[in-house]
Amino acid sequence: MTKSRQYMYLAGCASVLLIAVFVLFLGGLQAYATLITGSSSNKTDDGGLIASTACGEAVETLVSGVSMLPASSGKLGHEEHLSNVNPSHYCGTNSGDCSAIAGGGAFAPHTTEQERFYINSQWGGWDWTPTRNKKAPILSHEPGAAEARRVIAHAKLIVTITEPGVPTKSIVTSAEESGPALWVTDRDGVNFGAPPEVYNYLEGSSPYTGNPNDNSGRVNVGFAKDQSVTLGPCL
Amino acid sequence: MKKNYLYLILAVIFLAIVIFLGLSFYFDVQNKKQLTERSKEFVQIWGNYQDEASTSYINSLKDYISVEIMSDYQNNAQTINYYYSEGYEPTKSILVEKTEPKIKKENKNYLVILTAQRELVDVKKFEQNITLRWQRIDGAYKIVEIIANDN
Repeated sequence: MTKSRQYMYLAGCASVLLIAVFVLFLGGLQAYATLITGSSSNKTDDGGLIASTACGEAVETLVSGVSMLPASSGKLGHEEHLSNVNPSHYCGTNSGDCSAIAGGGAFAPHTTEQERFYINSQWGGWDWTPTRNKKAPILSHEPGAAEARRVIAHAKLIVTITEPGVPTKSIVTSAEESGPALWVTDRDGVNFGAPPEVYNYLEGSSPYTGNPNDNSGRVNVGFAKDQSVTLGPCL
Repeated sequence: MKKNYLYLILAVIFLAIVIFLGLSFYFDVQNKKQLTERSKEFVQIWGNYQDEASTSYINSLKDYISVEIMSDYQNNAQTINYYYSEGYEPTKSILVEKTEPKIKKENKNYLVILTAQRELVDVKKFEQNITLRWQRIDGAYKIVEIIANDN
């Protein structure tokens, strides 16, 4: 073999080796990146603990790092019943006027128990600012908002009455409706709502006092850490 | 003779690698060019609407977004339509791009990042950093994630 051929041979081997190392390096980088992003995208777990009740623990969120409630404390509005209930609408002694129906609600259809023990709030995943001006909320595209929207419908929340002078009681509710509008929150401090079956059980005062900072109808609200818990009073 | 075969094999491998890298680079450049343009189109449609819950608006996004995001918009329409039945008006949005989109590759996805001036009519004006994640699905690139941080 002549010297020039030896050089060519060596140069060929070296270039192939360099390219192979480069390709392997890129592949390794990609695999590492996939590993990192794959592990960080699994975000659904429990949020911060709000309260321990007879129905289990209540937490701030079901999507780690994403705010799903306007606050963990607020005032519980007195709402009406919802339509689009399967198989039939509940009507008992604590149901108030069963013919007073607000509409289908944001997350219809509902089961009998979901409608009987529903809750509404200004859920994370939407921008509620327009509701202050009597305009509809819009989708939020903040990080985690889409994930929050995916898990909110029919999620179970534990509501505990914290109004001074009212015996402490908790009830498990289901997210079936959204709101109230922010102008209601500005006026009365109401940022949650529930039908008669829920607010009559809790025995809080009417929250519509015109004072957003008083304690009439004040409650603590958090997502049930155990989402398999049964809807209704925590006994 | 054997050494000649070895040279030939090495040359073929070398050529194959060069062609592979060249084509990868070429397609990467083409994808970036195409997705940058499509992002500009999308952001104009996405951020300028009279009614976020209207069927015509949601259908206008269809060519750009994944089935999951389409479903998110359709589910949202149910929520928003309920507000309309309660007497609330649609929130109108106006968007003007402030910066040219920048594109980068992340794993097998492309990320397009830009800043826009946004106005929710009669509600608020603000600046948003918008990130679109494009992913190849069934042979076509679709947006699988929209992140918009308000500044």
